[in-house]
Amino acid sequence: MEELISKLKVQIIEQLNLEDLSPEDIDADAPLFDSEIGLDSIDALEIIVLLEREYGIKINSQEEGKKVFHSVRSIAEYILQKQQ
Amino acid sequence: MKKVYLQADNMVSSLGLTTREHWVNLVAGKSGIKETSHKRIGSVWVSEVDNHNLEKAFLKYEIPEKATRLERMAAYSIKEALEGSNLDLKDPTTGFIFSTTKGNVDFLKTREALNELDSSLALHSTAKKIWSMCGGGNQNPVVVCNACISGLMAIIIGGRLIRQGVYDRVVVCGADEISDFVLTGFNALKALGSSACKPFDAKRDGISLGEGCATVVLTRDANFEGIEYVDGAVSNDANHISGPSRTASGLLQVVEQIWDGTEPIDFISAHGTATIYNDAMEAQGFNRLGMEDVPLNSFKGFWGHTLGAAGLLETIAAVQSMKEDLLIKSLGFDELEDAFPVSVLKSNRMTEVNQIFKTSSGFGGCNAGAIFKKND
Amino acid sequence: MTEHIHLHSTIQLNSRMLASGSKVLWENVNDKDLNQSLKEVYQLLDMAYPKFYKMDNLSKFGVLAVEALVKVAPELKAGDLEKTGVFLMNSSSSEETDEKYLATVNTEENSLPSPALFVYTLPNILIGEICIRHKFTGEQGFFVSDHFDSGFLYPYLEHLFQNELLEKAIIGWVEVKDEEPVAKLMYVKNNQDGGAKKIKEEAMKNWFQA
Repeated sequence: MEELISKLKVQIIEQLNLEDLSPEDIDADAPLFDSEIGLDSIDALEIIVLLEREYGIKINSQEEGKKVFHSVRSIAEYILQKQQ
Repeated sequence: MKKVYLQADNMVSSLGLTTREHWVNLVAGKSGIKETSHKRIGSVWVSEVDNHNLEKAFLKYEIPEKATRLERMAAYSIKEALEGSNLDLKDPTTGFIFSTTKGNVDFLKTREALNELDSSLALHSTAKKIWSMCGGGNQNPVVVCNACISGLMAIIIGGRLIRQGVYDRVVVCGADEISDFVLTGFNALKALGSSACKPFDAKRDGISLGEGCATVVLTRDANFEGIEYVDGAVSNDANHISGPSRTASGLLQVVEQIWDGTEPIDFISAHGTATIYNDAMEAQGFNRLGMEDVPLNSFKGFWGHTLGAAGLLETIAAVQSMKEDLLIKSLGFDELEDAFPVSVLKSNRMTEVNQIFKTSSGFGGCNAGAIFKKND
Repeated sequence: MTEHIHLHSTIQLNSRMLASGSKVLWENVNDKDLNQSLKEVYQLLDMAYPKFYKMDNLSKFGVLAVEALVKVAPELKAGDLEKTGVFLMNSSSSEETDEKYLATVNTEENSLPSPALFVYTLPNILIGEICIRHKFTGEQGFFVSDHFDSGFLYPYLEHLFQNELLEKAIIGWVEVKDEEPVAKLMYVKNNQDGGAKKIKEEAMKNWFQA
């Protein structure tokens, strides 16, 4: 789990061009949206692309994504659950 | 202030190649949006211009072959709009404005094909070529590339240039095609609807992409059928590059700029893309403006979202409604979302129509609005 | 008719330097590449605006140039922002980003189109970025032309100023497709406050073509 979280942080920073952030800056449990990190609706769509490309997981709508994308940990949990 | 009139027009979409054909189909409630299969996306609902009919129209109007489909469609549209008018497009008092979002973008992967057609990806060259295909002179075309408000903005700019005395007449043409480029993009944005689009309906779930072309000729001469361009404005939400304002601030700013509330508005032709957020923003805006009882529609249920042509096609249809005193229902609409009630037309309505609004909103946070009225 | 257009200040940004009028604000020493240069200018302007890194090159160039213009002319941030307009032009629209987006559509099977890149395939997104950053909500327009078309923009602006639709405007040429990417901006206004001077169309045209 922790390994997946670390990997996800790097991938999210890369995919979303969060150049000012390093993985240590992202708290795995902190909200990604409407928060300090301040991701928006386009970022959510980019995470959908990331999950499909890297993990083969399809998310069909922004609404579905919103529930999954609360924090890096919730994304990791979702990936593990889908991969079982 | 100089008066500006709409002298002539033409519409090209899945519903036909003339304004008259469109009007017949609008009155009949016919949609040109159809389900098709795309190699990457799968099932997708789009509104396409019929190539067979286009080729016949090109022959009739002697549109040169050595040009892209988009350029030929635009040249045809201008020629058809001007048929019988004896307008000399070489006359330097006639200007040309072209609106498009992506022009010849489908040739991005095969530039060689463009060279063979003496065409270019550069939008200014595209506009010059269209103008010369119609017999236009050395006037430098203005190319408006401002997302989905481009078409309406082009009309507003034309009106302003006439009032400023730059031109006596302006030919305003807008065109965009369905391309892999744009389809895959809207799909990546999860913005495509799962069926023909349902603007303002509670069950709407996204746009239907459309293609089309339209032309309006603006003039300061008063001896025409008598629809007047009254005023228009453009604003920016300054909120988000792709999401509409959550408070409809940009739409409110535009309407407050051009309408003081004294002369009633009889009809609103809204942007109505059928995405959840756009239509909710517009409903909120018109509601906050106290316009919840003004009959409103979106024409996108008929021919989808035609991007750079949308504002022009929808303006012409709205103006036609005013000429005919017949409001057209908002196709695809069934049940209202209750947050901000507005009067979406569920059926066609015969009523006196003297003054109308056309509004558009687009990516980049832009909004445009214009008022047209019967000339009395 | 008396003209209403007054020039307050200018900004030029390219890969070699950032300048306002004859005053050089930044120079590219040691031949830094475009990315490094843009980052250096971003830091020089003390922006602290993480969204910057998400933008395409056209938006980065334009947003940095406007940031510098606002530093040179802080009055742009004051007053009625509904009456502040932005009008930009270039010859290639968003072609550089169009190509990058297309590469995410057409390549190997695993590649998926990028929604963020697609949004930037509209050149007026740059105007949106500028408006978001500075809260300008007035008239705007992105136009595509093979040259800076003062023949259109000058009377158009004149109309907007005369009819009090605008008080201030940023106008400019932002092009990143050419070998030498460039942003050239003018801050113009409808009065001479703050040392602004009347400018004729010829002078506007000459400055942009120089």
